[in-house]
Amino acid sequence: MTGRRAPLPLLVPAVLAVGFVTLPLAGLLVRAPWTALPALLTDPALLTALRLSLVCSSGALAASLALGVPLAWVLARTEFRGKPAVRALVLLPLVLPPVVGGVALLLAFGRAGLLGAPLAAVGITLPFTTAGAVMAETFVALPFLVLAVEGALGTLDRQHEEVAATLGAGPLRVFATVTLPLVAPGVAAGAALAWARALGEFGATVTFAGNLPGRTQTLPLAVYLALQDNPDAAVAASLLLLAVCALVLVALRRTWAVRR
Amino acid sequence: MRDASAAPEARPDAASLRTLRIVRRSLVLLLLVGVAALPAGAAVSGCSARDAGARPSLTALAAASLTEAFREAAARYDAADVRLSFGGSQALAAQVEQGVPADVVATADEPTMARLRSAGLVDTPRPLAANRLVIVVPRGNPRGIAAASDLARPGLAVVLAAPQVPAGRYTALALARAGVRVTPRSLEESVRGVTTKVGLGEADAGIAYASDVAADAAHLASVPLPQAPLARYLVATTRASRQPAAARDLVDFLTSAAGRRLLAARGFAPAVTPPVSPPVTAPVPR
Amino acid sequence: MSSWHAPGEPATGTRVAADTSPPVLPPVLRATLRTAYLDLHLDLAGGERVALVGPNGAGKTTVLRVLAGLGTALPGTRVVLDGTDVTAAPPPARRVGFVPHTAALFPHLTALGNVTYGLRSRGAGRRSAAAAGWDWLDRLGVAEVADRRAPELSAGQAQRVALARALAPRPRLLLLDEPLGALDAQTRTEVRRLLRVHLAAFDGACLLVTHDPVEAVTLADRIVVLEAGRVVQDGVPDEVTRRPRSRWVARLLGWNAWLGTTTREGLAVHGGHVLVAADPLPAGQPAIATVRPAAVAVHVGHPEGSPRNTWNGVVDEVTASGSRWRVHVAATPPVVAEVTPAAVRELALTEGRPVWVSVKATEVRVTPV
Repeated sequence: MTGRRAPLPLLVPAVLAVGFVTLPLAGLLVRAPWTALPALLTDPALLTALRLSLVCSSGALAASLALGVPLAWVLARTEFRGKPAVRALVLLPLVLPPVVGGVALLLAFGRAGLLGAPLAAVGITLPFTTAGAVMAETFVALPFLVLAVEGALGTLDRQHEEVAATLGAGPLRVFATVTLPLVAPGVAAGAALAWARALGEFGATVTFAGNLPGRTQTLPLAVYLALQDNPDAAVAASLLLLAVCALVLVALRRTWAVRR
Repeated sequence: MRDASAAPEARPDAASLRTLRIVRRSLVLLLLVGVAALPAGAAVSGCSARDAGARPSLTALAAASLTEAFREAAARYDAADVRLSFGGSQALAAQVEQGVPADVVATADEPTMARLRSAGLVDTPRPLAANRLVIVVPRGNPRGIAAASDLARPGLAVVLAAPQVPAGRYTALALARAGVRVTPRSLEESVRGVTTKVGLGEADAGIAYASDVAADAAHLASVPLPQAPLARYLVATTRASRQPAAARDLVDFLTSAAGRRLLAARGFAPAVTPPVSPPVTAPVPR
Repeated sequence: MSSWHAPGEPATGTRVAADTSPPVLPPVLRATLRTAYLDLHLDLAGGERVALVGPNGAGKTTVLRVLAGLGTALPGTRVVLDGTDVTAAPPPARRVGFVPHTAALFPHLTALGNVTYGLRSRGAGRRSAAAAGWDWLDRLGVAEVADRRAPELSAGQAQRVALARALAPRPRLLLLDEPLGALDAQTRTEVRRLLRVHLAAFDGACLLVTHDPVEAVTLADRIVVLEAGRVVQDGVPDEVTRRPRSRWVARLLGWNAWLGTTTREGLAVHGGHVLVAADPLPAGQPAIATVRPAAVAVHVGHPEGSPRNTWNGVVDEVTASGSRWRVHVAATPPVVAEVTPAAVRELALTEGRPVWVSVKATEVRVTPV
């Protein structure tokens, strides 16, 4: 497949697609206040928001991995009644508008919520906390991870796991020493998607966790607010987010290559 | 039953094919559920339900706190078909600057309107109404908030508007005048965020406009905040309007006695002309 | 002969050395297998090597999987290993070594990592497992690839590492699925030699699945022929090759084979014609008649003389087989004759030529099925 020229009916839409995605980014770069950038980027509020964003998205990734990988395994390897319903539920946050997700989280974990009320009674409050921001981000990021890992597990050749069992490894050991290493590329891809989604989350976070600099004001929130009265700062913050995501994509380039 | 021979090498895109299959099936399931629930969740974005007919069609941009009042006004106004769009005053101004086709603009503060005026985008603005900030509490005032100083109570969950929006600036001023330091749980990016959180019971108190409390009287109650500056609402026709006569007519209606009564019923204070004290222009935060 | 064990470890198995009577080996495996397709019974003694042969779809791999605990078995199945009923036990609880058709080495581990996997899973420490691993790799002649990962090994090396991996935890039952199947001819010979050596030293029972008769004959003490989930024949290689009870084995050996019902003279072949055999069986039984192709004579005209079996047909195909030629004749029943090249020339045996074939009754062997 080397050196094949794409047929025109496919090439034109492809070029349009690239343009559609690149133009807004180009606009960002062109309109950036380059001279004022150093001052804007060293603004402590911005740096705080960046730090918080990185902390929360990493926390959301960790939670997604801890919950999502076992869930993906159960969905891919076991049979039970109502499995399609469970799978649809898990993928619900993918299609739900994020703000709706935030409201739903409030109704579940808020002070007056289903689980939140008993938690508040023992002194645990989740809204308006960094933990709450992590929860909101996990809510939207988890489906990405489950989807990617379930797909990878489903196409795995079971032979290796079976041989491992005959060699004396119990199910947990097989999972840790054979299954996981074999689906590692799929998990990494899913993790990258989930992390990026968590980093960019706005609606659910602002609705459930609120907006407080240093505690729950992540970078997307800071950008939105800065847009109101300081567009230059908003653009600077957007560039920062863009740079961070680009860095991660470059670092994970090898994972995409290996998977193919 | 055939011999289970060794499985072939997994195809490179088998994982994505399987993923697509899963997503497709789940989305179909969700779509069916969503369509079934649609009647319950129809969102009304301010469209008038009357027939288009030969009446002119106008677009009005208004500050979020004017939502209920302007919807009622548009319903009552039958000289034209009014389409409404609500948002934060800053966002509305940005839209007008970007060239959104609007005939009438109503902002919640003077600096925003001044910005549009100096850019030559609107005609002479007219005073529309005034709004006062009040302390918002859940109905019944369970925590017994009586004054601004009560907001500093330790353990009280207070939400305020973010300083980047006009309501937030006024809040900061009011609290500074009252000499109270409040540690809010959240700085909401719109005043409606404040009232929603208090209404849901997630926050014990907040500071929002009197009109916002009137809009959700079922869940909210207000406590006076005398230190609050008066927010002056202004309305103007845009220079770019395609129907200047019809736009002016709408503005006349909004500033008429009937309009004033409507706004008063929704919790707004009457417009003050001329201002009794020097107009409040909060320093733009950087 | 000493059984394989590392120094300091107690020997497994119950070989009795230096005795006048032959060693009595207890049965290692007693299995009755019932699945949706299978219905058979197997007995294997310690040190015994049994080849499981049969056509594709006979269920051979399923037998291995059920014995390893991987397949779904129906009630009625019973697997007893070394006296312990392991029917309900999951694979880790059985002392079974399994080498699948494609070696299935763990791609993310080195060869050494693969070999030590079973030992580590059963609780061995890293150092002792590594020492045992090196030992096994050395015995199988692949010590030099210990640090390489599975995808970097050749097919022959991979097969040897897979064998070492299965043997290292000292299983009681070793299951090999087509061990030489994926190898080219030369590697096959090498690995076959190695297998013979190591299987001889293995004191558990070994069941290997193959469809290659040479493999079965050279590696096994006993051959079990499986067809459609049932055991059709079970005997020493000599017996099976001389008196095959299934058409499949006969065909495999290159023989003519016809199924039919015995008569007083010989065999009434399904589809017509009665073959006369020198040693007929009692009439009325289902049986198989086999004739070596070298014992079939081809004539252009109607043959005269002693042969009791003659019939006519048309030459279908003529193929070379070493220094002889095999003439496939379409007739009732169809038959393959082995003749010299000179005969082909003289009789002008080409496609479509009408011919007569003859077989002496003494060359027709009838075996009950």
